[in-house]
Amino acid sequence: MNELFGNLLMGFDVAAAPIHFLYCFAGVLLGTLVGVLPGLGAVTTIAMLLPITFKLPPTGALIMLAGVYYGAQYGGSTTAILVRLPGEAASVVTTLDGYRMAQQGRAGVALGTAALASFCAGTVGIVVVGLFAVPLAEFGLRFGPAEYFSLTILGLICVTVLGSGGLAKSLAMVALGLLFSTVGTDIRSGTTRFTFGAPELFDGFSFVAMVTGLFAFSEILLSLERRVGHEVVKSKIKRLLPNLAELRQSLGPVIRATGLGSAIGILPGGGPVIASFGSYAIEKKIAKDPSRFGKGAIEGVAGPEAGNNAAVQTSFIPLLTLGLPSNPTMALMAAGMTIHGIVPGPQVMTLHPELFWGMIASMWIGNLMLLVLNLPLIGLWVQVLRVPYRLLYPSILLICAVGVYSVNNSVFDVGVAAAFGLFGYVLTKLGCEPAPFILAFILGIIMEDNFGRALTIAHGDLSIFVTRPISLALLSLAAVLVSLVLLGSIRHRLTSSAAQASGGGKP
Amino acid sequence: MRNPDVYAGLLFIGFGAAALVLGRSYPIGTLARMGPGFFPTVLSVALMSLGFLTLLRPLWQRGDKLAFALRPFVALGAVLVFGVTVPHLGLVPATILLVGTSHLADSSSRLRETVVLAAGLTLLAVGITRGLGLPVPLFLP
Amino acid sequence: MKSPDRFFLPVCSTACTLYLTLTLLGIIPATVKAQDDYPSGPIEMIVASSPGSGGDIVGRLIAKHMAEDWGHEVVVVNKQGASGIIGSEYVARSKPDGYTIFLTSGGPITINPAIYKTLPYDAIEDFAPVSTVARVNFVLTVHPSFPATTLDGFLTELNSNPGKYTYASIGAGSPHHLWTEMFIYMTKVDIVHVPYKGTVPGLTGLLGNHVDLFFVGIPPSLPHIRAGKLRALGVATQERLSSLPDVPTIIEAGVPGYEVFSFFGVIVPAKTPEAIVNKLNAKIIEIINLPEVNEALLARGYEPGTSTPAEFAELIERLINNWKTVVPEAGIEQR
Repeated sequence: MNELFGNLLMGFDVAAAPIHFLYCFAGVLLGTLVGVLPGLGAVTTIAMLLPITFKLPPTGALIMLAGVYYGAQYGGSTTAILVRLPGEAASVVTTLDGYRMAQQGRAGVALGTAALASFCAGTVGIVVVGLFAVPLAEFGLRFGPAEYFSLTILGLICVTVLGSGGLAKSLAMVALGLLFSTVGTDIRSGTTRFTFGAPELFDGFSFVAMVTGLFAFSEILLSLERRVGHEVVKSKIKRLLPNLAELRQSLGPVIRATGLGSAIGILPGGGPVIASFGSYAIEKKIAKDPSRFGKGAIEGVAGPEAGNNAAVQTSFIPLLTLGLPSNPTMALMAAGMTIHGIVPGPQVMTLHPELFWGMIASMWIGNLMLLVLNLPLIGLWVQVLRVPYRLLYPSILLICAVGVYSVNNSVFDVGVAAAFGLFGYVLTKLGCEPAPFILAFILGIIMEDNFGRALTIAHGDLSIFVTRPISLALLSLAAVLVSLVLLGSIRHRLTSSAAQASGGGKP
Repeated sequence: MRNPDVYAGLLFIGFGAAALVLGRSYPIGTLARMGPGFFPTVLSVALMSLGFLTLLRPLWQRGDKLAFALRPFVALGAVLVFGVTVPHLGLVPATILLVGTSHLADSSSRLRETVVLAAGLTLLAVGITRGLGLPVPLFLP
Repeated sequence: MKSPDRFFLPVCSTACTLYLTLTLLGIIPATVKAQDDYPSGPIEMIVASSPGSGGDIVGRLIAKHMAEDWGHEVVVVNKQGASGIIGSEYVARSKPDGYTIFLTSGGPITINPAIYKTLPYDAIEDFAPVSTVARVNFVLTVHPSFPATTLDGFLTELNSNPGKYTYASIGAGSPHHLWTEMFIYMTKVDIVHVPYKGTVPGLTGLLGNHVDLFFVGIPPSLPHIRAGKLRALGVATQERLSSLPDVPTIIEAGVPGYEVFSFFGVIVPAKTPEAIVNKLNAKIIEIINLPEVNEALLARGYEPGTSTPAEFAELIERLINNWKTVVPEAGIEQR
């Protein structure tokens, strides 16, 4: 414990140096701006900053890059709430209730809750990194293909819980998302599937294009349609910040989500995303009135935001302790370290402790800066919603188009975004939800990959999924969740038919 | 018959069938050596079954009726116009064309506002791309 | 009802007139560039892999020095995807004026011709090689708990347990896959292929002991070997490497002729004037020989090395022929 304090002190010493403070600020500011712009996520920005970091000293450079990374998460939630455009995959779930809250005039409350939840979760996440980095990293290594597969199964069950259009439709959305995830090159055989010979599809659909189309573009279509014939009356914007009651409502979700996110973040690939919808599913399941979810329940914003930010902090662990980046952003930071002669690997903690602890301390300072930056900005963001829609939607269209195009300088991607815009519109009109679709899409890629790999390693023996302890635990959890869902569905069916039988319901 | 569940069900069945047909040449393989056709086939079958279930849903639950307007789709057209013209005309003309096209998607758009908006958004687009160092050409012959 | 013409026509014609006027007045430069004062403007360096990848870092290192020396921007543009096909096609179709150069790895121009039935470019006809830049050497790594510490013991273990052990690659048709298949072909061992979606997932799998061995590049694996988290059984080079002096070469340990590598090199669209190609070649050689660049590459595990355009062309052709034989022999299906 004393050692921890000593290290943290050293870290804060490093992080509070004026120059590092400045880099941190630059990073989070840039990250927030970039997170607000669709398509131009942390990856693109960091890639662009790499040449600049050539010239900066290593600790400063990494502090800035890290700031861009978690700053982008904050920005991504902002657009998710305001205009239903998730800036990052982890913000997809925030669109479910966050956007609804905005439509009800509670955008300020949603934004404020997101910022506060993220900060609290981030703080805890950072403490976890400081205390448990090495053992958590070792634990993470024990996750092999079988464990990942079981985790995705658990994740898919959670995703099904997200939907509210009825079990069959939710499952169909999940199946559809999984099906779309097969488009591209099959990693095992090298065969291209459903690509019609287009090289742009060899690696699957561009995620940014899909999300932009499915959420932002389809929402524009729906909004324009609602306006045909009559001007929509805008809900008056009420308070700008959550009040005490709302904060109390958010406390439980934040605590639960922080635990979940901290644990999941160490797993390479998809930590924050899984944490976000895992938290949503948990909150929806244990809520007294689950029907509030999807209609503006504050827990649906507080939980996922906390979960994803906790996961974002712990996702640094594999990079800092093992030298293994868990996602493309980390890979860029690893490149940044390399450029400065610090070879990312197991020895970074021991050879460069000032880097390790300096980064951890600055991560907390960064989170604090984001809170301080974003809370006052809420007033500004909320003004965006008061812009007349006829001026707002072309702006959204343009920013999204530029964003999607510039990820790969690809016309094809713009077409994909437009196509998914149409698709999202159709889905919503038919009472299906795009969120389970896109989340299943993300999981599908991980699932198929690991299912095949696990079986190859096990030489075709299916029992591997239940003989390995972690995998067994995850599958059992999934089974429990399935029974809860089915029980809930049956009970709902029974009570509603009972209500009808006793003459309570309308014919 | 205007029940959205019917169309949803048909949509699912359609996708499932399309995947089966398009993927008929992908070998399914065995469990130990899964072929590229394994997952798509399983998913297509599942999707089609769920599609049938969805089709039957209106039998015990009534949904809302469907209605839609055509004009909003021009907004998608605007995006496509942008995508197609950027590599040939550059960012600035593409932006102007996008704003111009999207103007038509809403009946309450006013011409004067649109022109000013086009100018403003062009500046924004240039600012974003140049500011982030994105190699998108502004004007092309 | 507003008619669209009322909007489009005035704005478009104004914009066009403005543009033409500005061009004629020379305010917006015309796009034709002469070759004697090459370079007279910014150069685009295409990298067919994602930001932060090996090729990206090497490319950025070179671009930085090139820009400093020549006084013009050298912008790295990532065109990743489809095993390098997207980037390669882009370069093949670019103007052969020396302002688009391609920092490529071996995959797109030497392996793709063997594993893809059709490609939107011809690896030989569409490009003019300029120079190699660095070589990536490969090392056979296992988890420290593997029951063998020498290559001999390793082969014995594999031969007494056919089909039991698994090897990682970064995808069907990747260099790692092909090089391992060549090893299998030469040693007749029976090991199972487990593709991963990239070097980092593959290394993670090996570090977690989920997979048994990995023929991996030195750059990503060196830190783990040095930290003792992975064991290196042999390097696939002619001579021992200075970065791993205690590790025998696979050739000396009993598999003669097993020398595998990947490379990074700069190529340009075919029909680029020879004068420009030579200028680029000279500049690249100069940059690679700078002590700071040389050391940066070595520290990362690369082996810096340049060549003349002719030598590079010969290397490419040799490798293409090699893969065109190995791929069908290893039973790898074409896509």
